[in-house]
Amino acid sequence: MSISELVKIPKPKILSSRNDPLHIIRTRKTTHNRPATIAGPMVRYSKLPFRQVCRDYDVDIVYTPMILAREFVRNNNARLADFSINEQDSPLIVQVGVNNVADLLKFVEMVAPYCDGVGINCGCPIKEQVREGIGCALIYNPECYVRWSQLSNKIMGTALRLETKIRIHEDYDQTVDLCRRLSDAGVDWISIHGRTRTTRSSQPVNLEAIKYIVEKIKDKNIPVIANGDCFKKCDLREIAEVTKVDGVMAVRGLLANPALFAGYETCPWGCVEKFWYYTLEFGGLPYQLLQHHLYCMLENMKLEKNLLKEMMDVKNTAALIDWFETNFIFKRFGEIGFGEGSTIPYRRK
Amino acid sequence: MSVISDVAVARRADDASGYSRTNGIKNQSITKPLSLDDSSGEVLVRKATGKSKVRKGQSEEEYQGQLHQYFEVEQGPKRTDIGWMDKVDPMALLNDPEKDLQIKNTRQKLTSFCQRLYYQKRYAECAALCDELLPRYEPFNKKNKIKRELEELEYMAQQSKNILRINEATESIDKIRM
Repeated sequence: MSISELVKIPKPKILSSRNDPLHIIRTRKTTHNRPATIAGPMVRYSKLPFRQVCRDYDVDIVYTPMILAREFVRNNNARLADFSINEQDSPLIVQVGVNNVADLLKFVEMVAPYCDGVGINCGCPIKEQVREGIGCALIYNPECYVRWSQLSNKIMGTALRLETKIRIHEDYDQTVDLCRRLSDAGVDWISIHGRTRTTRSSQPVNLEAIKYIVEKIKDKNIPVIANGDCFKKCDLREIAEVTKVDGVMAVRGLLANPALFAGYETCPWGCVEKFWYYTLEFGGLPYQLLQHHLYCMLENMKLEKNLLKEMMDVKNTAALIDWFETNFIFKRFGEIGFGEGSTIPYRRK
Repeated sequence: MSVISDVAVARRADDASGYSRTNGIKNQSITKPLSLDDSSGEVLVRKATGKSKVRKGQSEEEYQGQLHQYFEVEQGPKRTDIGWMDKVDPMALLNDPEKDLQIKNTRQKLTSFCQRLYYQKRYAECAALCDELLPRYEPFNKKNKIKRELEELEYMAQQSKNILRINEATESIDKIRM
């Protein structure tokens, strides 16, 4: 008997109103009087502890970091490093970086039982990826891209949602054409980052371009998510009002303040405590990753500059726990007031 | 895999002149990979230097091996629900002959038990586990490659013991006072 005859592949999860991302995107305006809130994929950063923190603060749908299909389908250490889940980790979109259809279809087969949707990354502008034909290179390769979407949709059927995240072209009509073709290919919704592949993130997002595209593909009845420059809750409403999208995706905004969709102007201290708890409860994070997450949150909370600098000199997770204990009233899970604080509880003040 | 047979042949899609250096900045061209073998995923891409590079494909046999490893042996992706560490004995993991301490993931998993105990202020357990791990990690510290991992374990062991000593001393003083 060959190996293939022995391998039993679990069926995808059943999509219900609780975990179907498409249902959530289509109904949030009616049920919650707001667009759907989405934590977008961040290379390296959207790991399980961070995803869980986002879910605690009114994020409807969460993405994994971009996972390279080529590595995932070939290497078990890459799988271990890139993808971990738990019972609470839903609705979950696994985002894939890919430059050929064989890897894409294999990848979909392997992640389908453990997520609620797959998102094809066509927005990553990192030049190393673009040179490989991954990320936003794909928006300039529509023939392959649309065909892949059709095939993915064919094997996924209705058991799994298919999303694609794109950047805008300099000529918006090219993006309109691409979106129309993707819709025909069976993509469930499209996330549009309102910058071209060469626009720097310091430049404001082009909401007018997203609005234009949304108007032009209205007849397709495909939901659109706007991405770019969502840093506060007021941005959520403004972006949705200007562009008329069904949902808003935040990425950098959530990295600094995972509670932004819950209406917190700056990252609450409770969020920091929860992030620590989930990180250690779920089996840790690479140290530089943990440190960077905490840096972003504490910088957002306007932690004194000298303390921020001091924190970046700490060498490991255990020493960082001690640094928090020394400088702040640092509550652990189970202690009264854990996860509830808003401002920084300096110990020495 | 049956779906692979449905794959249309991807066409050669070399850098289209219209997309190269559109804003006058170097290295802005888009690589559209040339698919060499649609069933295996072998593609030709262009490196930063301008040279071509073949990204090797994966045979059906190799893929089936990965499927077996992933679904049958690993039982899917790593699952870490709240409290999962309470159900796993790190000493059993450490003594499992199938767990190779040369592999970083294995060491990270074991060290994360210590970090969690340290965070939970379970210092006696933390120190004991660190003391077990340290001599088992040391043989793999060739050319100081895992120096940082060892330093963290030493740090946790030392700090835990210091805190335990302080706690004991405080308790003794309290008893004398009573």
